[in-house]
Amino acid sequence: MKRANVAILGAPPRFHSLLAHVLSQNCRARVVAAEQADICIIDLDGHGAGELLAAERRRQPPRPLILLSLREVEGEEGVWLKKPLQSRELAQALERILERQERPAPQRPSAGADLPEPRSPAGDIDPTADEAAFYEPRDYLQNLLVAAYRQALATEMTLRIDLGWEPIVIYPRQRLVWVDADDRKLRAFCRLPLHRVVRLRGEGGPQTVIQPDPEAGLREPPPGAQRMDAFLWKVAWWNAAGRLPRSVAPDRPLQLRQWPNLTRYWHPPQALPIAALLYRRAQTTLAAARVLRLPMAEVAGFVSAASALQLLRFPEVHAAATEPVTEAPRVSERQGLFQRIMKRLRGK
Amino acid sequence: MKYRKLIFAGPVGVGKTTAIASISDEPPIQTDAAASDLTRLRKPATTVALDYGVLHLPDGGKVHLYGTPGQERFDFMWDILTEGGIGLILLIDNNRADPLHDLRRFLDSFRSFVASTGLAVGVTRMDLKAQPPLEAYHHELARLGFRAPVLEVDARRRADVSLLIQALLLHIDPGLSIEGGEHEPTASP
Repeated sequence: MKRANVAILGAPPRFHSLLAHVLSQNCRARVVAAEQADICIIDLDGHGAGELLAAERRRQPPRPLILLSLREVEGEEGVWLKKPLQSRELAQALERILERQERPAPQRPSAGADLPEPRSPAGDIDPTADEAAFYEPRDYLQNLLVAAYRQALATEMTLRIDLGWEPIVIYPRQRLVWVDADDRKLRAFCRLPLHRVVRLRGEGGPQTVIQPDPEAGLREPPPGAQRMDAFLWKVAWWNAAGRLPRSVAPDRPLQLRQWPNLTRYWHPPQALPIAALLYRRAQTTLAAARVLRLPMAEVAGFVSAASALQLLRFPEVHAAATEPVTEAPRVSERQGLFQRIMKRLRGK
Repeated sequence: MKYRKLIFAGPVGVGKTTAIASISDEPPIQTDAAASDLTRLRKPATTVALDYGVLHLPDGGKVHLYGTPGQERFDFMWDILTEGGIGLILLIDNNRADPLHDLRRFLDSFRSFVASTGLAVGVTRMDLKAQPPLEAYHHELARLGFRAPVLEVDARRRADVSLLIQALLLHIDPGLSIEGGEHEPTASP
């Protein structure tokens, strides 16, 4: 396994020795001179730390920084760790940086295109690349849908979302949604943030509204109407396009309150092991992707959909408690049998 | 026979026989007889001993699918049937008078088996009665000290029964790898 070359800058000799010992014993790292390092740890309370930090900021290409200090550091690039330092926190910070370095570069959506290309299934996201890693649900259909659901259920009135695209009709009594679009069309539409829908429609177009549709309310929902929960689930997954909601940090532990009703929800095959893992214990999105050896984007899609349906809880657990326990799953007799049953059940 | 049995349990008429038939590779052996007690009110024939089906595995092995009889007077058989089982597929009919009571009753009976293996709950006939919702099952399970996948199923639909079994296996061992295409839910048959 690759070890990182790490420099320790600004630390007094005893602290330097202690850090070097922790890095060699607890981390995938070796301590090297500053000019040979891929990653720098800077003691901001040490002598000349300001100059060292300024020099690192000017450095091209930049390298990842881990900043140590007694007081909180704001606005600095890098990972900040508060003193007194826990060796586990240092190991985790280093591991996160190494993971990012070992991953392929993220694919960013093209700025000029009206319809951003979907993320490659094999592609991954970099938690530091903000635009590519996160999205704001309120900019997309899913939040509008949640607002319309709430209003329809509270008033028990049939409502219609008019975006200048296909109208989306909500039947609260039957808990159904109808839109005259197949999944392929809906999926393409879900890639667009709402402000872009408005721009494509033109300035003179109708405003985005949720309004009562009494005429539709007099009729039964058309054949092909979909369940409200199943519809929101897939819209949120497709709105996410491999990103996490901005409110869910990739290193924030989360857990499923309950399994999503996957017999009734669209999902890619990997949703099953993600559900099993996140239901069993709190994990960060990063850890879940690592344990399951999945692209981060796939786990992010699941987390976004589960978040939209309020299936997640965010326990205040110690970071160590979220560490995966099955990094290298043992292949027992039972696991071999289970694997064969899975293959049989999923076979065509 | 160790680790080669999947046990299907649940109240009378929940769809155990149908679920096994929908997933079995061989015509299931059924031991139905004309119902002579209160069961008659729900269906004319019922399982008086057990249901049996088979899943053939790619390596030539088999997984035996056993359905327990739903009536309480046969519960002496449950311990024998579950010996060496992989886990419990518990089917609950949402259209019965008190499905959460059914859940409690079966969990009480299978508690030691589930504790040493695993559990997945399939809720049937939610299209006929949506209440209680799946959340209520999760709350009841948590209250009784269980954590398990709970999915809506139509016992006639192979995809549903298959997904429920997969959820059970992954719940026991989340490290299993998985392959295949996207899941597209379809309308009830």
